[in-house]
Amino acid sequence: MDRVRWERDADVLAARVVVPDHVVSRAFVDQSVALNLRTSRYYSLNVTASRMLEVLAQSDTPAEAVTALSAELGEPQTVIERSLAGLCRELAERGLIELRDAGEG
Amino acid sequence: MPARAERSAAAPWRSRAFGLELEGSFPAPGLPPLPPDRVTSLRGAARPAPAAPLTRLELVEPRTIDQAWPDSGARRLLAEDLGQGLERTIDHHPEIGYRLFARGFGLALVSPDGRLVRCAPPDLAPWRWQRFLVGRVLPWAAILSGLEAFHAGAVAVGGKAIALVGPSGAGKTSLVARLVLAGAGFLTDDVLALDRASDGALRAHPGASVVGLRAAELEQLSAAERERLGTLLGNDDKAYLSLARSHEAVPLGAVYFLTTGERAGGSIEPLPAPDPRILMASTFVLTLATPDRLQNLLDVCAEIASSVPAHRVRVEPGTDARALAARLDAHARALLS
Repeated sequence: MDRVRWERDADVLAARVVVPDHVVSRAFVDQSVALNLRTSRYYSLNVTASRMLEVLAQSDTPAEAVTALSAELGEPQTVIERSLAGLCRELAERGLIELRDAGEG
Repeated sequence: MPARAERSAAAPWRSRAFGLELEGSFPAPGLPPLPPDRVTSLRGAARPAPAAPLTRLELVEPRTIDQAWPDSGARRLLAEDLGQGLERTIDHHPEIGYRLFARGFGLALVSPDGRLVRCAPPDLAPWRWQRFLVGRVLPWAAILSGLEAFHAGAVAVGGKAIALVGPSGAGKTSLVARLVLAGAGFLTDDVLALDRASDGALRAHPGASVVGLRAAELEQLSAAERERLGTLLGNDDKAYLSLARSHEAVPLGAVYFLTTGERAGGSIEPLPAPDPRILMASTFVLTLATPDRLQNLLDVCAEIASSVPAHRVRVEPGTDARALAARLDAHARALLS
């Protein structure tokens, strides 16, 4: 991931998020596990991160996911924005999502 | 009869273990043959379609495996050295398959899809060298065939499997033996193969029909219990007994994780949210990391977590295996009723 490109939360929230085909995840009781088939690494996501990833996958941009998550988790949008942007950077670092400029194919 | 001559002195047979339909023609005490009505002549006559992927087992000379193994293109997956030279190695070649070696037990070559296994054992009695075959090679072939293998013993209670998961020394074999003596059906001692039926439910497959009991565990059984349990094949680091078992898979009904060295030994506690790391680390084979295998492991573990009741059993040193097995038996029967 280009850390400089995605340094600002606003840029991350405006990005298009893609979950690559080589990433699979499965739900467990109180967490989920994501598997990057290219690196052969498993990652554990807690309940909140799992739900965030789920909503992200259904949204065009992280910003779109913020509204839904804020209502669901009962947190102010500013808090969700910071958490979500941070999560996106971590997931991208591990190859579990890809951050692309809006409009990029 | 010398071990080498004894190897070829057997009619062709078919068996089932670890979810594989096996075909061979050498004495295999840990792989009970399917009843004759299930297998017509293996000499050219039509056979019933196997219930599972057919894996052929062949005995060969070491040079056969050496000659089949290419000089280049292979990658070492495992090299286990305990200070006295290599104990075990596993090598992979994408076209030839997997070459497994265990010091004192010989070589095996497993085809990439797990359907052909060639063994080149040393000059030992079948029960002895086949510890490698049933303890390492066939579980590997099972995983290549799409099953998943866990480090677990298992018995059948009320038509369902209860799995006892834990590392070596946790007490799996003691409990399996005691549960069998209490009337449970023996499934497997050390490696439990799982897959999913067409409806997605997890199935537990019988393993080898052999248990390896430590001397201390054997001494705790009466002579009558030993006789009821099974037939002694031989003594090595453990006493190896052949047990009767069914050929059929059963639904996985419960999982008990054995944890050792803790207080409150003998307690059985529910695990409503089994840690996926513990589930996944309970796999018997850590070194096979193909994408298909890793995803299958994840799928099976997620299915266990969501659909199979799990409990933790605390076992402390000196725990009375007989008493613990009785409690476990009662607990499992109540759970599965």
